[in-house]
Amino acid sequence: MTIKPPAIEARQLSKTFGATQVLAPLDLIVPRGSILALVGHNGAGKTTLIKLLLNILQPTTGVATVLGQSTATLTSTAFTRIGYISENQELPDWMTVQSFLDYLRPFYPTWNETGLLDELDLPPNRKLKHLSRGMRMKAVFASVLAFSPSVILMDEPFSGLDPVVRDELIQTLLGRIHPDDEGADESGATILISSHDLGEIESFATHVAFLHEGTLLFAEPMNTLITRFREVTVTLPQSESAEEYMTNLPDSWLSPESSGTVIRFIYTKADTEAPEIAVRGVFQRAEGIQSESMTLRTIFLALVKANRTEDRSRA
Amino acid sequence: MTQSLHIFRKDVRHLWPELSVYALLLVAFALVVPQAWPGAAFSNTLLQTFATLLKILIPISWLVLITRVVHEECLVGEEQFWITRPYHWGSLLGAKCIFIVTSLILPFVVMQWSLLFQADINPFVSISGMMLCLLKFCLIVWLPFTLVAALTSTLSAAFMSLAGVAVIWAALLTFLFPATGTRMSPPFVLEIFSFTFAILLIGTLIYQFSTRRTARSRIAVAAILFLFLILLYGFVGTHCGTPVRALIRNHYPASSDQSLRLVFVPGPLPYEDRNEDIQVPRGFVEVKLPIHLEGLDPNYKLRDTNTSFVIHTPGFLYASPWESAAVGEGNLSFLVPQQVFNRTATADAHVHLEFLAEQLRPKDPQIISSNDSFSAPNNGRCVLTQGTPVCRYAYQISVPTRVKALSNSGACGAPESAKPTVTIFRLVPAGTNPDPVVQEVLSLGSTICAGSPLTFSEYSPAETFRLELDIPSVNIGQYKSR
Repeated sequence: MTIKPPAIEARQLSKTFGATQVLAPLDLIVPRGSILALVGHNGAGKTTLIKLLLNILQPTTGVATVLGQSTATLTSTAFTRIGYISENQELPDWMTVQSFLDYLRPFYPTWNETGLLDELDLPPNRKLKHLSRGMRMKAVFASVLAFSPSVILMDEPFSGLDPVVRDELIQTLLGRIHPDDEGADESGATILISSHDLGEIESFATHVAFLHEGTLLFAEPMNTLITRFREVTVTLPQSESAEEYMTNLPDSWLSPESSGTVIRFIYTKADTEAPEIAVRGVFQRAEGIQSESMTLRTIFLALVKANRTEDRSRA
Repeated sequence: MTQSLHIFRKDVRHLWPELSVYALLLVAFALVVPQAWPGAAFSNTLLQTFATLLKILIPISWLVLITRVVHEECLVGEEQFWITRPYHWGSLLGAKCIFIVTSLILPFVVMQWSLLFQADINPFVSISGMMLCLLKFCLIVWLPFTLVAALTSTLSAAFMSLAGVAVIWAALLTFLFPATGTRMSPPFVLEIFSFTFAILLIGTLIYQFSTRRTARSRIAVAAILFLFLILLYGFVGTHCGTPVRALIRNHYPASSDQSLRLVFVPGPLPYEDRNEDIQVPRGFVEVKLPIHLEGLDPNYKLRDTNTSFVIHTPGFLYASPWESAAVGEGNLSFLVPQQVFNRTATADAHVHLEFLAEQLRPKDPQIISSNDSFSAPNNGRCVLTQGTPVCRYAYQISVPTRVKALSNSGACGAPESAKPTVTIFRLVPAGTNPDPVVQEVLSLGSTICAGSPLTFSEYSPAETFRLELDIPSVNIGQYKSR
């Protein structure tokens, strides 16, 4: 039995435009069948990373593979198994939805659009240029899902879409991704999706990667992340001021805030050490310690905030 | 191939409005241009202006069509839908080539053939002329247009890029190479330049299609233009003249005919012979030396007459590049830079001169009776228009031809003059004119009537030769043309 390479693998991949480094050397592995949410604020380097993985841009350093093939040698054949969806894609606007799909069909040996237009409620005879933003994105989804790619890279696919369309797209996406075409495992297509719509992504992503200012801070399974991050609220006795503790908190406790006798912070090691025990070590006279799970959105915001604070203090 | 055809069909489906306009232009051209030919029944200034306008519109429509079809799958940018689809670059390039050949070149050839048929010329007799014409269009127009389209993302950017290059090019030629037109074209220079730059441009086009590295491709194009300029500068300024001179000497060997020689006859030129024979560019003067070319068969003609000379005066030496020379009755004229002339005009100069040319030998004459429409040698077709024969050829008149006729001093029917009139056809190469019909009006000076015999004598290349002449002492200043 041969071990299949990861769906996506990057080693020391970086990109520099002139004197500006938009992506610091990063290592990333996306297992087959996973859905990786690539999160980060605007300008973090998400689009650049996706374009590097598609060989649209060439890396300054490092290498990457998609489905075991070096991105530097991605040829036409590779794109019969790799799909790309982007909010900014320029389409042949003069074509109707149906003629667009008809045009693409001969390019793919695995093309099957049966039921897609109905499922996405797409008007087949309307020209792409006359479609709304949501409809247009649906047409792009249809043109990718029709050939059942093994890997789909999506760059802000839900940006600016209403919740109904977003939900339709996600349902269709999840319903259409098939098991790996080589049949060696039961996993479906691998998806790498960059999005700001963290609430939506959290519902179906299996992995998360966080980019900040071109640096990959972490990439891990979603459940590990959710387990790792806890929002902790510590209530001190009336005789003590929370402010006194603020300067002595461990670095891994992010975004600490104090108000009277209450301190709040993000605990980032809950997967290895129970927060109550670690917190009690610092706040020995705490009257109450509350630990709550966090959503991807709150984790993201906390991380961005913490990193900005760190950047400012470094500057 | 299947993918190429698939893409091609899509392009045709999308660009049919542009193709229709192009077809209309070609039809208009095929209808209007014959009316503007010399001797046409309805020829007038308006028609000729319209024909000229169409001649401008056709290349513009080429640029639009080529740019539009290449931009269907734009190679510049990162957001085009096709770049993450299973397009093979070879198929894409193939599709664009198929489009250009079938939708642009083929209708153009059909239009040209329609014009040839209207001129009563069989197009099949000049397939080589057609191929040469198409090759020139390909190298000068279609290939550069395609490359520009491959390196730009919008039609306006393509237009502006071409306009920019054209303006810079014209400025460089005007200011850096003011007398380029008088320089001799070394043997095979056109072939070498065409081949080299066609390969480089095609290579860049393939590189751009296969990698979409636009910045690098643009640098490559700039480098090619710079290389062209360097070669041109080297050629004009003779900075890389040694190999060129060796090639010229090899192609024009020293004449083995002892009787063929140049003779310097000291003394002033007759006043009436001192007019300028060459169009003199700014910064140059024409010098006309009393040099006789002796030993040339009087029936022979010369073409590609060029000279290279060294002027040596005390403390000054000037060696000229090979440049055009005009051979007159007992004189040889050529251009000298004004600064050189100023420095040598008053001094006693030592001049060493080399002269080369190609001899043309007359073939056996053919006598043809003129008529309203009659065949001419070399697959030509002539018509008699108000007593003046107008001869038409497909794509080119390949050899110079001498025409003799017995002229009529007055109206047709009057007794024929005993004195024959003579005219010489120019050599008109196949160029980049959309109209493939090359016209030559035989201005014989008087009326030619139906039934009058015309004698056509074609010239064929005989041999190339080179002569040298050493003039130990001459005052250049005496021989400046008026």
